[in-house]
Formats: sequence, structure tokens, C-alpha cells
Amino acid sequence: MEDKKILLKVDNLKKYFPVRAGVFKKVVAHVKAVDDISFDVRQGETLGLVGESGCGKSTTGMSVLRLMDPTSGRIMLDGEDTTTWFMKGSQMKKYLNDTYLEKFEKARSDFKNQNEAIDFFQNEIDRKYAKVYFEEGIAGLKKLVDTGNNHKRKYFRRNAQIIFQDPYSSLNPRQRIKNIIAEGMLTHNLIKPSDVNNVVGDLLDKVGLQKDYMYRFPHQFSGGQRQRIGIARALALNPKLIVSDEAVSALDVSVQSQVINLMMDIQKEYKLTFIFIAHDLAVVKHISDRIAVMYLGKIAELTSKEKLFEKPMHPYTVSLMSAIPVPDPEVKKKRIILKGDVPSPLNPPKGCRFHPRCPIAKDICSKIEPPLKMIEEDHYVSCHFAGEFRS
Amino acid sequence: MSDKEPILKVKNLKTYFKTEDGIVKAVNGIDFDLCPGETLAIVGESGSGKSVTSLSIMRLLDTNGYIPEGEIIYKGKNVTKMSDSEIRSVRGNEIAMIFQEPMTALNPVFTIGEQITEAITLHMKMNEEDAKTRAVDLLRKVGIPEPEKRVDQYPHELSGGMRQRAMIAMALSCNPSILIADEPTTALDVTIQAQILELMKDLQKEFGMAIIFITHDLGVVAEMSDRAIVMYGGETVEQGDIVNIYKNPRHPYTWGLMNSIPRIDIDTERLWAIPGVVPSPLNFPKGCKFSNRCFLASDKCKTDHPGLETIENDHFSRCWHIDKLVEEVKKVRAGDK
Repeated sequence: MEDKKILLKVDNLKKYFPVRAGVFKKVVAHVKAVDDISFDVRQGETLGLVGESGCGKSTTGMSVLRLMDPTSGRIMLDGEDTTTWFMKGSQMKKYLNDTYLEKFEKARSDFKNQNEAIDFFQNEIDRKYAKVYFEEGIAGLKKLVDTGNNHKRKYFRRNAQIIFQDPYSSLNPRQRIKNIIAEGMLTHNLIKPSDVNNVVGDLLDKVGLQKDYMYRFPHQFSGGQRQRIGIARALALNPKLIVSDEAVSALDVSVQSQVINLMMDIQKEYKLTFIFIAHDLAVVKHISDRIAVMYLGKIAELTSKEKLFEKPMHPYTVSLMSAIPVPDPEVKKKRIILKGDVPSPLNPPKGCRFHPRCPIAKDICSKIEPPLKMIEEDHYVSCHFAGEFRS
Repeated sequence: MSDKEPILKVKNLKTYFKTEDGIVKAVNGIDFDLCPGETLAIVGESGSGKSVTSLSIMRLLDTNGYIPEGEIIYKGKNVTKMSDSEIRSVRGNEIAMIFQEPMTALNPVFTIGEQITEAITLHMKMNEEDAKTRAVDLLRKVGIPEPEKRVDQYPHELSGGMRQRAMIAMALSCNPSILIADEPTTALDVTIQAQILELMKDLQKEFGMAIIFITHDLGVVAEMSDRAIVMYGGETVEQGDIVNIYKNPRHPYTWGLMNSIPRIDIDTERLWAIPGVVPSPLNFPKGCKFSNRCFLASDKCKTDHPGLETIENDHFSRCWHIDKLVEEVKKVRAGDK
């Protein structure tokens, strides 16, 4: 893999949903929808997030876009730590303390020289913050992260867009297409009101709809056309990152291929970076450069699509692939049938989360949770026995 | 096909619906035979009439639906002409059905056991106790763990895969000779889908029933069925042996469908896209119904409605350009590269 710039970097992302019960609505447990995952998305690539229902793929997408507040974790977009942009007072203080100050202090005591301490950090953001911290102290760092958050948030919203799964509920039924698409551009002062017709017309043209459709309402369109409108809306702000959450799942086969082709075309043209979330491994394979397979809030395997399909290493990936029916009646696959259902994320199994269904689970699997580690160049697997199970 | 006597014969079936906007011809002439032990797939996109076909066989149409023409012969008797009490003794007993959404198809206020035993006591004249024993046996057979406990649980206490298993148990409760499965795995995750498909194959081997499998998933069709009917706009556009349909499709719609799905076993640079969308049922073009989306369409296609032509033994296609397709496809492929 060539060294491409990393556009989005997610560190140790967690999202827990509290479960409340009783008269006083006390928090009795947490649904660990996403439990400590890290990944990078490179500039111009499509990262596919695939997994079965309840694996946390949509929650990951929502958290990255800050449509949900993550429980913890660091989300960096284009060389900036965006996590604090959505935080206030004590929350931010705690975050800075946990994420930066502890390791800065440690580095300061480990190295005599301040510059050495700064150089110790690989990450650009760490270095920048360390420099400010060493020179101006905590007050300086706070000032740096706590100014202009309104502006920063606006920047973030413009550059991180989403295409939703359900084209029926994601377009306001009372707005004309023109307003739906233009609203973001006007809010961000990207165009003048007098240019709206031209710009929206061009966007509709780009996604394969007629220009005069801009005067219509969403109910006048079919599912596939609405999904095209959703794409035009996301494109309108010329964002750096687009998260597509099951954007083609609800569509009929013939329309699905049209929308997939459209998404791939506009990605090439605008050099967009995509996170493509879907449950259909075949679709994800077609559209993605790299794929993260998720299981119960964790990443099971993360690698390029070529490697994933040539040499899947996690037993879950292997089983998932063998479970997909191939549209060829002469291929008789020997199928691995996994036992049971996906366990509830409320009470995930101890150790490796996949071990109760895993065909090669051993003692250690029920005790120690395997971390996501690099098995070979650019191929990450979280399994104690990576590569030992083949179909 | 097989030398067995067909158990179900559908001849020129038409199902129409009266609506405010006019008569919707949801199914407009389909023919097939179904032999014991075989699996027939009905494939199509939404609005193709595949589900209405199955509901017609079960006589479960809405009140505005009617069958103006055609016959459905089950064991020598015409289902469309049966009296209400006659169809009731067949439905759920000899012809059973599995639905797509197990949560809406199961009744939430009755336990799984109650719902299974209802059919057993009704059709098999068993007493409650024996029926419950049979229900537990059935649940065990479809792979539900702890069936003694599950039989007294309500649908919401079961996972999606479990519910689908329970529904299969219910459908099998009276040893049906035909099982109609309407998108039985569409709402399920792939690993669960694999379990259910495996189960259906095993049960078919054991009980020898015929299955009509209705789905839009071409992978599932290839996996499960012996023969397939491809439907578009309420008509059969292609029909035949499963290997013929996949290896040698002779209708542009079938070919388009096959090439518009991404596959895990083959890399494709760019998917084929059938242009446009399925028109509303009142707005299909004259002539060939697929002509407005077809890359082979000529003037003739726009005015004259093609009939179902025999290509070879047991392989039919409804297209004016059956012979042209193979060459044109080669050109398209070459153009791609």
C-alpha cells in the first residue's frame, strides 16, 4: 500500500448506551455498542465497515460524524483533534487530562530535553499539543483547544457528511428538493442565494436526475431517485469525508447497481473519502479499498480487500464468507454453519467475543480477549489463532 | 424435467386488483408445474408479481384482488374454484407458507406452542396434549435449543433466526406437500440465513415436500432451487432449469440482473446497470414490458407483445431478440474492456 495521507484517524473509540431501570431510572448496565476500536481512513479511499446486525458498524459511523457523542476515544480529521470541538468545561478538562497530559508528563520526566520529549511523539497532533503544553502550560493548551469552537464545529459539519440508509425518512417531506440540497450551502455561505438554481441544477445533473426535478417534493420520487438526492445533498458541501450508512441496502437489485456505480463515479471525480457501512459483504467488496469486519462492537479483521478475500485470517471472516450464497448453481460450496446467534452486546462473552460460536475456540479464547494486532503488512486480526482456520 | 406427476399445475394464472386508479394487473399469465420434492424459485424485483403469485395459490388475496383467468390445479382440483371450507382444509395443511417478517407473521399475544398446536389440532384432529408433544418435537427438529422451554415463550422472547425457525416448524406441523417460502431469509443476517437455508434443505430431504421459493436474491436462488421463473411486470420473462438460467440466460432482463450484482467470487470492474426503474403497474409500456429499459429494444418491442418462446427443452424466454442477445452481450463485454 502506498503511503497515502491519513484523513481520518480514530483511536480507542467507545460508545456505551446506558440501560436504565427502576423507579429512579438508575443506570443498571451498559450496551457496549462499540468497544474500543481504532482505525485510519486514508485520503481518497473507501473503507468498508461490514458486519451483522448489532455489531456496531452504524454506531461507529454516527460517532465518527458526531451525530452521537462517543463515550470515549479520539477522532482526528485532517490533522486536527476534533474531539474537543464538541466538548465543554469539565468534560474537556477530563479529556485533555486523559488523552494528553498524562503522556506529556511521562515524556517530560523520561527525557531531559524538551525537544526530545516532543520528538518522541509520532502523531502530528500530539507533537503540536506537547509543544504548546511544554511552553505555555495547561492554560496555553486549554486556550488552544477551547477557542473558536463554533467555527470549528461548522468546519467539521461541512467536511463530514452522511448518506442515510432509508431514503424515505431522511428527506424532509415538506421541502422542495432545491431547498433540501441548497440548505447546507446557504448555511455555510458557500453560494449566493441567486446562484442556488444553477448549482442545484448542476448537482442533480451530476447524480443523474433532471434539473427541473428541483421543484418537486420527495414523495414524487422512487427509492433509487431519493438516494441520488441524498448523494447530491452530501456532495453539495464538497466534504472531505462521506459516511454512507447502508445507502444501497433498501434498493432493488437493478437500482442498487445504478447507485453503486454513481457513488464510485463521483468518488473518482471529486477524490472523495468514503466510509461505506453495509451488511452485504459482496457490495462492500465491490466498492471498498480496505475492509474492516466488525463483530459485537470490535474489529475482527482489517485489511485491504484483496488480502481479505484471498487470505481471510479471522475465523469469523472465514465463516461469514462461506455463508454468502454465490449466484452460480454449479458452485457447490462447503459451508461453515456457525452455531447460534450473535450474543447480546449487553452481556458480551468474556475473552474473545466470538468464542462461543467459533469453530476453533480453545481455552485461552474464553479467558483472554485478543487485541487487534498486525499479522503481516497492513493486515490486522484480533484472534489468538489468526490464520489457522480455513474453509 | 422429472418423470414424476406434478403436484401443482399453474396454467395461465392472472391476478388483478381493482384500485381507484384502474385495474392493476399484478400477475398476467404465468404457467408452471411443480413436482414433489423439487424446489422452484420465483425471482423478481419489487412489483414483479412474485408474492401475489404465491398469495393466489394460497387464496389469500386482499378483497380487491381477483383471478379473472387461469387455473391452479392442486392434486387434480382447481384451487380457484374451491369453496371456502375446501380451501381451508388445504391451506396450512397441505400447502403451507413461511413469510418474510417473522415478527409480523407471528401473533404476539400467543405463545409459540399455542400457535403451532392450533394448526395441528385443527387439521390433524389431535388432542391438546399430543399436539403439544408434536410441537416440541417440531421445534427440536428445526434446531431450536431447549424446545420444552421455548414452546411456552412468546414471539418477542425469541431472536429473529429463532422466530423464523418457529415459523418453519409451524408450516411443517401438518406435513405439507407444498411449502411456499416468501423471502424467508431476507430479514436475517447471513450467518443465520445460512443456518435456515441448510435447515430447509435438510427438511425437504426428510419430508420430500415441494418448495416454492420466492426471493430477489440470486445467490439464494442458485443455492436452493432446481428450476427458476424470472418475473417482470407480472409476467414470466424467462423460465427454466437453474443451470440454464444462470449459465445461458436468454432474456435481457435476466442477463442484466445477473450482471448487476456484485459477487464475492468474481471481481468486476463496473457493475452492469439496467437503466431506469420498474414502472408503476399502471404504466408499463405497450409491447414488451421491459422495452423501455432494454438495451436490445427495437421498434417491434415497443409495439408488439412477445410470447413465451421455447429455446430448448424446458427453457423459455419472452423476448423478440432471443438469438441476438448472445452476440450483443459479447459486444457489451468487449466494450467494457
